[in-house]
Amino acid sequence: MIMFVKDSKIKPEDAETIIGTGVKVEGTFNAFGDVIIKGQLVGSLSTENDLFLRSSGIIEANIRAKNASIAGELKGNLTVDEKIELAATAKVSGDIYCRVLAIEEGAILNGKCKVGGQGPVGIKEKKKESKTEEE
Amino acid sequence: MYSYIYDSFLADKKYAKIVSKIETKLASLGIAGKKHQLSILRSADEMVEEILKKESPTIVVIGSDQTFCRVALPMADTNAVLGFIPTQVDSLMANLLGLPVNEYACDVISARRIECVSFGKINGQRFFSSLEFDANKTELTADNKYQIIPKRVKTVKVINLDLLQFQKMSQEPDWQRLASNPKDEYLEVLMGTPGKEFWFLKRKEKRDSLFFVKKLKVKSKKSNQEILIKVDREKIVKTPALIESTKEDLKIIVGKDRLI
Repeated sequence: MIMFVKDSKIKPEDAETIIGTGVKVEGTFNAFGDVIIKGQLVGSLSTENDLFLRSSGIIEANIRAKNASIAGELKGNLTVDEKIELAATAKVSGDIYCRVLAIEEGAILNGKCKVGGQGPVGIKEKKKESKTEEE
Repeated sequence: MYSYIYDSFLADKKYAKIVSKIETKLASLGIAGKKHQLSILRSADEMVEEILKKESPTIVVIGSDQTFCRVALPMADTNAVLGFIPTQVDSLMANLLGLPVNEYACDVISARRIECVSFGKINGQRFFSSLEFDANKTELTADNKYQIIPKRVKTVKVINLDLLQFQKMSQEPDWQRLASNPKDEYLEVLMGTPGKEFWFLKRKEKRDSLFFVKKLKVKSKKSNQEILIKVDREKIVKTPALIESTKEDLKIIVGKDRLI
């Protein structure tokens, strides 16, 4: 949880959608590929692949992604299937759920943090189990 | 069976040598066919309709990108195959489809490497390559789910089959993908500021954002104002406009070095 891993598996070259600095997106944004955000996004965001929030990027949304690399500002919950990387410039206000978390020195994180083998999928399964027990 | 549509400008005497070289090459490859000459009196639509009455023909356009796009539109969802012999050195379609110019393209036609590409629609009318319009004063709603608000971008380009940049292949590729993918059900929306060249002043183009959409609604922020959308680099459509991807497709002959 402490070390920022440099040899990351997340490759920005594979990015598909790019929200640049000259654009603001509002609403429910569902992408099928990788997403790079350098501009603003308000609403909700989900992608089956990876999310890259650059240092100039601002997100006010709940996010669901496979991997996330955060260097900008995020207000909202971040649910990731695999790995979250928080760079030194990252400012996160919200809860985060993932299997692996890497935080660089200087990153700001205000919120609950659930990291572990089962990740968000495990959380869903637990909810299902508790429901069946109640029945 | 091959049918060849000759662009209207090829009727000019100065192109006689090029045309003759192409015809000789086609004959030597055994793919010579009927010649159809476009003119002011004969439109591409009529000509294609006439050719399509025959069973699954191969229509080859000899000439410019604009004519190639115009011929492609009425060929959507038919069994016909479309080929292209570009006669202009700076042909964008030649770059995209991996075609050499003039008689050298005949070998590609003969090899018949075929790809299926789709079309886009704007207000119910097909387009083949791309649309371009001013980003200022525009409201964009994508897939009925989210709004794209342009802030510091000047131009929006909605792409079916085109380069992922505003100008031709002049810039070094800083993005990994150079061309759109016309084989999927999405349209690419490129936003940015095109480059400018005026005397000694040069402004490099800036590509800012890239989205993939199935549906895009475009309207003006002011109800009494219309925004002009340039379709396939020639026709103009006014807002409000609904831009969609379609499942209609077309078989086209491509070269080995294609970008799509």
